[in-house]
Amino acid sequence: MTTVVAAFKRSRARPGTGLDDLDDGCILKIFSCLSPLPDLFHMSCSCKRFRDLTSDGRLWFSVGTGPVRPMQPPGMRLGSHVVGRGKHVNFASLQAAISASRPGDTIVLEAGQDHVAADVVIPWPLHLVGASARPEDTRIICPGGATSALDFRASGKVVNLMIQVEMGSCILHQKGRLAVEGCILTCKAGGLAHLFHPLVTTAVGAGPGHPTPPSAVFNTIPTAAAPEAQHIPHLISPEPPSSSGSLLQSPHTTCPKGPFPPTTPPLQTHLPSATSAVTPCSAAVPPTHSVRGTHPAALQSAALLQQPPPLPSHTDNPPTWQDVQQDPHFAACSSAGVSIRPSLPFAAMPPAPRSTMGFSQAPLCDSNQESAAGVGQQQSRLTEAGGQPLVPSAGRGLMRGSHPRLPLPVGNNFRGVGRLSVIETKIRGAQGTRAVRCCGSGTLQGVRTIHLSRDTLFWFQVDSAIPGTQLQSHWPPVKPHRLISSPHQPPSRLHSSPFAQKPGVDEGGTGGDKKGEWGSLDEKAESWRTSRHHTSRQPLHNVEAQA
Amino acid sequence: MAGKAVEVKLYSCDGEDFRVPSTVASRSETVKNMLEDTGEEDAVPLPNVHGRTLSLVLDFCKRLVQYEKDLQDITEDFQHGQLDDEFNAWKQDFLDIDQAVLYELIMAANFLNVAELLDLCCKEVARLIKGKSPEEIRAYFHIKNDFTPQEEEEVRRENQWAFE
Repeated sequence: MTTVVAAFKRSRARPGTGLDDLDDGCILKIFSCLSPLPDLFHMSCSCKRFRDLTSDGRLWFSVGTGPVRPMQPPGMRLGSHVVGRGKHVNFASLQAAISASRPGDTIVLEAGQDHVAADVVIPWPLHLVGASARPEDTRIICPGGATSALDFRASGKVVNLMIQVEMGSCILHQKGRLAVEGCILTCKAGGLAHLFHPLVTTAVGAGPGHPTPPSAVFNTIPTAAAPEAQHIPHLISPEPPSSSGSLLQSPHTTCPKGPFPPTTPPLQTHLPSATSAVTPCSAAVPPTHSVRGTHPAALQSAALLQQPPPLPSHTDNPPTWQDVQQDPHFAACSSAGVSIRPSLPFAAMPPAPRSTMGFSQAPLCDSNQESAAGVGQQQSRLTEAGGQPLVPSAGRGLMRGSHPRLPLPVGNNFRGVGRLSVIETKIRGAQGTRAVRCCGSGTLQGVRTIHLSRDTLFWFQVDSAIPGTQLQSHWPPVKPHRLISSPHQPPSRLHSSPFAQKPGVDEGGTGGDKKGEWGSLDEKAESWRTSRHHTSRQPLHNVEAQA
Repeated sequence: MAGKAVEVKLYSCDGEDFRVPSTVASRSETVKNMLEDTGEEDAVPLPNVHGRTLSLVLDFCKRLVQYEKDLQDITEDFQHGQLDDEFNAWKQDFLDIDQAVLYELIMAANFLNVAELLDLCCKEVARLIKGKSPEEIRAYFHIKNDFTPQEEEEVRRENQWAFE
């Protein structure tokens, strides 16, 4: 028999036998031995069959309490993702699945049950998918006391999930390209909903030409601000201005029409003059109360009072990516000649202990760098409601009249260039709550909104690599960006000519190359609107034209 | 030592017959189930497996049985590592085969349900894939690119999120 084997080894087998001739089960078995990033992604680019197989649910991790289901009938397809099928392994918690995942893996959260996530760190690129067609079926609940439900420190995708947070943010984005698609984000926060933001992005630009990321070290040079901020000098944030927040809207809201009133002084920043092209909604400095910048003693006091929250404890001691590398499966893989890449740049970063991060008393205003208009509204609202102006206190951080804020981790450990894309996502909150809080140097761009009965459907992006305050000469001029206020509130001083906005697609945004970079968002928004027969809703520019 | 193991007869699709001990044949779950159903006296037909491929599969099963038997017989710990090294070296030599043979081996292992062989071969294919770009994968594995340029760009764009 040995001679037969030797002869066969030297000969060719039946002609035409190739990798593509293997059945799906064998191909999936091979794919399960590959690292999702980049090998599996490269395989998906080779041919259609492999593309479909790489998105097969049998390669995914499943999170849920249900029984292990090794093989299930094909699930429904959502775009390029097939949901409804679970992987062989069920994890009891999202944290356990993330710890056992590899960069590029997809984690499916089973529908029909609530998943608890408190400060869950995503340190390498991951894809979180809800296993249902409706995001309401798959809920991630974040209890009070957590800063955020999901803390993204790498690229990722969040698809088809409903995230409910008590006091904090649903998603904290610090680095990488993050896409939130088809989700529902809700901040409850009781009566303090205006203090919390469903989305918080702290991604900052890179390179010497970009603004310094907000950190424990503050720029002491005050930058130009909105008129309100000039009246309240101590509220001026020394942090570089660059971005804006998207005001959470209620249906049938009014949209303040630009431009600025004549009394608005030009933006005087340390940045190029192109900043003046950016509207106050997108680049003006918010009047921000910063305990850190103005009162170091208060910062120290606040840091002492607010101890960093401990990392979430895992009773089941989920394995980490490093542990996975030492798994016998991978050890055997290595022994068979399959080498595991020792370190991927994004995978080599383990979740650091919170002790390395500084915590500061977050400012009372929505954002360090959100729009002056929004802050002005909030400022007036707070003043009217509480009757107490915001006064910094050296000893206690904030005096009476201010609202306590949960500590927001500040530190450069995990911050980097990133882009937050929000696609077809409903964001719920109280009136005046901002949908996104931009703590980094990014600029809110390309806002598209569709008003539903109780929600507002958002499309927008925050790109930290293109800071609005650092516009170069080659950057195309930006159009005025509108913020939308409630019709029940008196128009802000910044908004001289608000007009009634009918439900429709808000064509606000900075403009830019819509055919290119924003093309996908436009197409998605338009296809969504068309598919749902929103024929009565017209784009905003049409409404203006008719008026 | 117990008496001589019972030999079973296996028929491949091209009519070759192989007489192997039942302990070796039972490494295949498929053959094991058939032997339990029909008894060890009857020949087991394997219509989906080529004779040359079946010889490779049986060769692997024999070596695996021998390895497990040696593991039971060792008395010192250092012998464990020595046996592992020998078995790994043998596997490396075993996998020194053409691609087409490797794929036929995977199909045979999948049909015969020999988990160890299937794992070994799949990891070998994964090793061949690892580190290659899509173009290199197509060239190495003779995969026809059936994407239109638009579709290919779309796939690349979909996967772009993980590389940034």
